[in-house]
Amino acid sequence: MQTKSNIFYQFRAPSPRQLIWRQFNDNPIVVTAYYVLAIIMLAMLFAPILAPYSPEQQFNDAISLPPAWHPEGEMRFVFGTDDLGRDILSRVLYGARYSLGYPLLATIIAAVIGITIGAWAGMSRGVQSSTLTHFLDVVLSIPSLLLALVIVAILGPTLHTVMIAITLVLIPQFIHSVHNAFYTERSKEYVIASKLNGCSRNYLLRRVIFPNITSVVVIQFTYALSTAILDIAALGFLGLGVQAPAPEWGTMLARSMEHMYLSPWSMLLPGVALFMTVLTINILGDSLHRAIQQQDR
Amino acid sequence: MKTPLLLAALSLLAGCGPLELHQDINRDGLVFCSEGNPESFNPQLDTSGTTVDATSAQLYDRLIEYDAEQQTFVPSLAHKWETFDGGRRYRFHLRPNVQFHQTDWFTPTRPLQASDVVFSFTRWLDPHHDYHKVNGGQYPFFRASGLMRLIERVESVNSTTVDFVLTRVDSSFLANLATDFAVILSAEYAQQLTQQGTPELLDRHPIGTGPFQFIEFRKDLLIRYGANANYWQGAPAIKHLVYSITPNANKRMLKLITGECDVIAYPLVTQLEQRDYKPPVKVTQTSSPNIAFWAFNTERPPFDQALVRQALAHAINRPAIVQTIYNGQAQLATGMLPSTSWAYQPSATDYPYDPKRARELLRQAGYPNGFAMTIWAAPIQRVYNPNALRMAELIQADLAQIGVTASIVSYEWNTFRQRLARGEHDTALVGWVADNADPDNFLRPTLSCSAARSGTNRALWCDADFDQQLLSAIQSTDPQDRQRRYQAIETYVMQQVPLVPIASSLRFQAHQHNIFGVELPPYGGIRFVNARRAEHVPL
Amino acid sequence: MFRYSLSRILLFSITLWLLSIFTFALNYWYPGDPLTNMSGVVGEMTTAYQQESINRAMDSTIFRQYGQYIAHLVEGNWGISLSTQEPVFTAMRHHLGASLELIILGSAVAIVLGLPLGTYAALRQRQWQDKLIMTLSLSTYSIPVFWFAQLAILLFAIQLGWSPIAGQIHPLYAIETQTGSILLDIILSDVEYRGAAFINALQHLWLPTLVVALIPLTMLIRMIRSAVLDTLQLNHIKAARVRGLSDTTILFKHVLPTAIQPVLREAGLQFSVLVTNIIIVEVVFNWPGLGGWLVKSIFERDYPVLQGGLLCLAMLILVANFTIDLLHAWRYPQTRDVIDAD
Repeated sequence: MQTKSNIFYQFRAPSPRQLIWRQFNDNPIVVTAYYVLAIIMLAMLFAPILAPYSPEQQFNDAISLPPAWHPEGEMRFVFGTDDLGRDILSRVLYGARYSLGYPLLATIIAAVIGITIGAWAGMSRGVQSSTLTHFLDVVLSIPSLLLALVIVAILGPTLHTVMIAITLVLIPQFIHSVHNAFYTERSKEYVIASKLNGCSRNYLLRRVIFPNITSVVVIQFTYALSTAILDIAALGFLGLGVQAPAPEWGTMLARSMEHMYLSPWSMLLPGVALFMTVLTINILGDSLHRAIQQQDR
Repeated sequence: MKTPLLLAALSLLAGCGPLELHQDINRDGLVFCSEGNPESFNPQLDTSGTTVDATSAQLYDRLIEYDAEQQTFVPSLAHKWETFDGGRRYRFHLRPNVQFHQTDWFTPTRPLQASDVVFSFTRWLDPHHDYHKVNGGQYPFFRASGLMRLIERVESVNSTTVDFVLTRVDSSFLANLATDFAVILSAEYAQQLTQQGTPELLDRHPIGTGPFQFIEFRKDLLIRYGANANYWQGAPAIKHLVYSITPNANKRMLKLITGECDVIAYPLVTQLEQRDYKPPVKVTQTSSPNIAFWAFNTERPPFDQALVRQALAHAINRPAIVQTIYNGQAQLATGMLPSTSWAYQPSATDYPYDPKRARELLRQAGYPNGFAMTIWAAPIQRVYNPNALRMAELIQADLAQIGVTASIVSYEWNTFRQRLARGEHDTALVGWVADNADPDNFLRPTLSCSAARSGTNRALWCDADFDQQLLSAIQSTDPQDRQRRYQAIETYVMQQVPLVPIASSLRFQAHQHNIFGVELPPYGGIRFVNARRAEHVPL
Repeated sequence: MFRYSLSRILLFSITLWLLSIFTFALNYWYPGDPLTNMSGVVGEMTTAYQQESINRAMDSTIFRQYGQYIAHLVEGNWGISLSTQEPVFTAMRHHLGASLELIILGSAVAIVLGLPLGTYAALRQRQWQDKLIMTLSLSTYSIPVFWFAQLAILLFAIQLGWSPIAGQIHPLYAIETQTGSILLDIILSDVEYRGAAFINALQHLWLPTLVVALIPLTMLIRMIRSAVLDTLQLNHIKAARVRGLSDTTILFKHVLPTAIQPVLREAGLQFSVLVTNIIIVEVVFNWPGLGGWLVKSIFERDYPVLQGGLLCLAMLILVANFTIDLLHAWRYPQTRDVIDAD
C-alpha cells in the first residue's frame, strides 16, 4: 500500500488482515450482513430503551392480536401479541439476550478454554497428542445437540445448565481446530527458524504461531457461535432449554407452534430474528473462509 | 431402491387431492385422537381420565351401569340384584353366556362366572391376594372412595350368583359399583398368567368382556382395538378403533381438520369455532362436574402456614386467568363445589385479586421479601384445565408482583402424577372430576387424610376437624341439613385454603360430521360402543 | 489396505470403548440410583432389585461393575424402560428402523439433488446461476430446522393438504411392526390393502424426508462446488482438455471422480448434522424414531431409555464414519499412505 504522506515511493505489502478486510469490503452482501449483525447486537444491548413494553407485561385486553398491518391489529403492538397478551416485539428484543447474548458468552468462554488446551496440545508431541486427537474425533462425531441433551438430562433444564452444556459442547471444537492449526504451522520453516534462533516456547506460541492462525480461530468462532445459537434455540424449542417466562426465541417458536393455524404471525418474528442472526454470522464466517482460501492460492 | 420410491412419491403429489383412504378401512374404522398414554390398561389401578377414557367403557363391563338421564341403575353384567340383611348384603345374578375376549394370547374356555367377579374384587380388597401387589398394588379409587373399607368380603353363592357383604349400610355402594373403576376381569386369564409366570400382563394385555378387545399398544403412538364379535350386546359397528396419541392440543385440532382424526379429546373450542371447515366438524358439549385448583403442598414450609396460602390466594388474578385460559367457557369457582351441585351456595369467604393485601399477609407470615417456589403444571389438557402450563405462566407473573419467584415444573403426564403423589411439589395446578353427583365426592378424595395417603390429595392436607365435619355431613340424611353442613365445610376450606379453587369447565368433544354415537357420560370416560360412521351425510 | 483396515478397526474399537465408558459413567451422574438408571429396576427392597444388584455386581469394585455393564450390553440386555417396563433393546430396534428410514431416504435425496446442483454451480462459477445456488444454500443452511419444519407443515399439510400433519401412516392401517421402517414393514406384511397402505405411507413420508435432507443438501452443494473448482485447476484436467476431450467426458470421467474424494471425506461430519436434524424432525412430525424417543425419555426421566437412545445414535454415527473411512481408503489408496505415515 502506498502511504501518501511519505515522499519516497514505498511499496508495502498489505498485511494478511488488511487483505481480508479489503476482500470483505468488496462484497456488498458481506457488508450488509456486517451491518445487520451490528444492528442486532445494538438492539440486544439497548433492548430496555428500544422495547415498547416489558417482555413479561401481560395485556389482558389484547390476547393473540395480529400485527399492526392486519385489519384487526393495533398500532401499539406492531408485531402483535402472544397468547398471554405480551408484546411480541418487546419479547423478541429482550430475547436477543438469551438467543444471542448467552450463546456469545458461551462461545467466548469455550474459545478461551479450547484455544488454551488446543495450543498446549498442538505444541506437545507423541502419544499424548494422538490420544487427544482420537478422543476429540469421538466427541466431535457426536452431535452437539445430543451431548447438550444429555447434560441437560443430568443437571435439569435451567439457564445455567444450558449455558454449561453449550460451553462444554463447544470446547472440543475449538481444541480440535486450534490443535490442527498448530500442528500444521509447527513444521513450517518460519517456526523452525525462530526455534533455531532460540525463542522460548512461550514466545514461539504467542508471538510466532498464534498470529498466523488467528483466521482459523475466527472462522471457528463464527462457526461455534452459530452452532451455539441454534443449539440453545433447539433446546428451548424442545422445552429443555431456558424456562418460561424468559423470552428465548426457540421457546417462543415452540409456543407459536400451538397457534400456527389461527395466528401464524406469532411464529414470524422470532423465527425471522433467529434466521437473520444465524444467516449474518454464517455469511461473515463464510466470506472470511473464502478470503483466506483466496490468499492461500 | 429408495430413489424411485421417492420419485413415485413426488409424482403422486402432482395429482394429489385430499388424502384418500382405503375404503373398507375407512368405513368401519374410527380414529380417536387422545391426549396421552394410559398408565395401565386396567382402571382399577389408576384414576387418571386418560386411562379411564382408553379402557373402562371399551374393554370392560361393570356389574351395573348408571343411567344419568333416568337417574337409575341399569343392569349390565348382573341382570338383577337384591339386598338382604337390611342392606348389608347385596346379591347379584350374573347374565348367562357373557364371553370374554378371545385373542392371540388367551382363549376363554368358559363364559363369565361368579369366580371372575370374586377375583376382580378380592384382587384389591385382600392385601394377601396373589395379584394384589402385581403392577404397583395401588388402587387409588377404591381407597379414596372408601370402598375398600366398606366391602367386607365377596362370595360366590353358585356359578352365576355373587354376594357382597358390607361392613355397614351405605347408600353410595351401588353408585360406586357403577363407576368406571369397578370393572370385571377374567379369573381364568389370571390363572393362565400365573402358570406362565407373567402375572404383570394382566393389566398390560387386558382381557375383559367389553365391546372392543386389545390388539396392540405402542407408547406415544397408538392403541389399537378390534371389535369384540361375541359382545353380549351385539358386536359394535366400528370394527377397528384406534387411539392416536397426540398430546399437543393444537395438533389434535389440525388433525381433525385435515381428517386424520375422526374424534378428538379436549378440543380447543374457541379456535374451532372461529372458522368454517370443509368438511364441517361438530363440537358437542356436556356438563361435567369438575374443578380446577391450585393446590399447596401443606407439608412443606412455607405452605404449612395458612397466612402464606391466603397471601398467595390474594396474589393471583383469577378472573383474568379464567378469561385468558378458558375463553369464557368456564365458571370462576368460589369453592370446591361447582354451581351445578345441589349443595352449592356462593361462598362468603372469597379471595379477590389484591396484591397489596397479599404482600401484607406475607409480611405477617414472616416473608417480607417473598420466597422462591415451584408451580407444577399438568403437561396435557384436562377437562378442568385446557392449558395448565399457560395458567402457570399467568400465576408466575402475578406472583412476581408480590416478590415471590416461581419456576414452572412439568413432566410427562404419568411421571407427573407419580411425582405429585410422592409430594415432590411445592404447589400444583391440577383438578378433579367427580365420579358421582354427591358433594362428598368433591371433598373426600381431594382433601381428606385418607386421600392424602392414597395420593389423590394434592395439598397433602390432613385436618382432623375437616375430616370430622365431612363424616357428620355424609351421615346426615336431611338434604337441608347436609347443604348447611357442606356450606360450613366450604367456608372452613376457604379459610384454610389448602388449595385455591379456580374454575369449573364444560366438557367438550369434537368430531367429523359423519361420526355419530360417540357418548360422553357425565361422570367421566368416553364410549365408542354405539359409534358409527354414516356413509352419506347431507352437509 | 489390510494394514490400514486393521489400524482403523483398532481405532474404531478404542472409540467404542471410550463411548461405553462414557455411557457407563452417565449412570452414576444422572439423578437417582445408578442401578435403577442402568437396569430400570425400581424399589431397593424388592427381590428383583436385589437380584439385579447381584447380576450387575453392584457391591463389587467399579471395574467389575463396568465389566457387568458391558456384558449386559453385549447380550442385548439394555435394561427395561421405567415408564413402560418393556425391554429397552426391543423398543430400540423399532425406533432405529424408523430413524434409519428417514436417514437413508434423506441422504439419498441430498445426494441425488446435491451432486448435480453443486457441479452446475461450479461450472457456472461467478455467474448468476452460481450466485443463486450459493445464496440459497447459505440461507437454507442458516434456517433453524424446527422453524422450517413448522413452515413446511403450515404450507404443505394445512394450506395445500398435500401431506398429513404427522405420523408414519394412517393409524387405521394395521401394519405389524417388524423393522420399524414403515415401507419395509408394509412390504413384509400380508394385509390385503398393501398397495393403499404403501401409498399412504409415502404421503406421510415425503415431507419429513425433504426437511431432513435440506441441510445436508446445502452442505453437499457447497462442498461439491468447491471440490469441483479445485479439481478444475488440476493438471490432469488441463491435459485432458489439451487432448481435445469433450466437456462431458472431462466432467464425468475426470473431474467428478476426483472431486468426490474430498467430499466423501467430509460426508462423515455431515452425518452428525443429519442426526441432529433427525432428532428435531422426529419431534415435530411425531415420527416414532430414536430422536423423538430420546427427547421423550428426558421428559419422563426414563434413564434406561435415554441411555439406549444415546448409545444407539452415537454408535450409528461412529459406524457411519468408520464405513466412510474404509470406503474412502479402499477407493483412494493414496490416503492409506498418509495415515500410515502419521
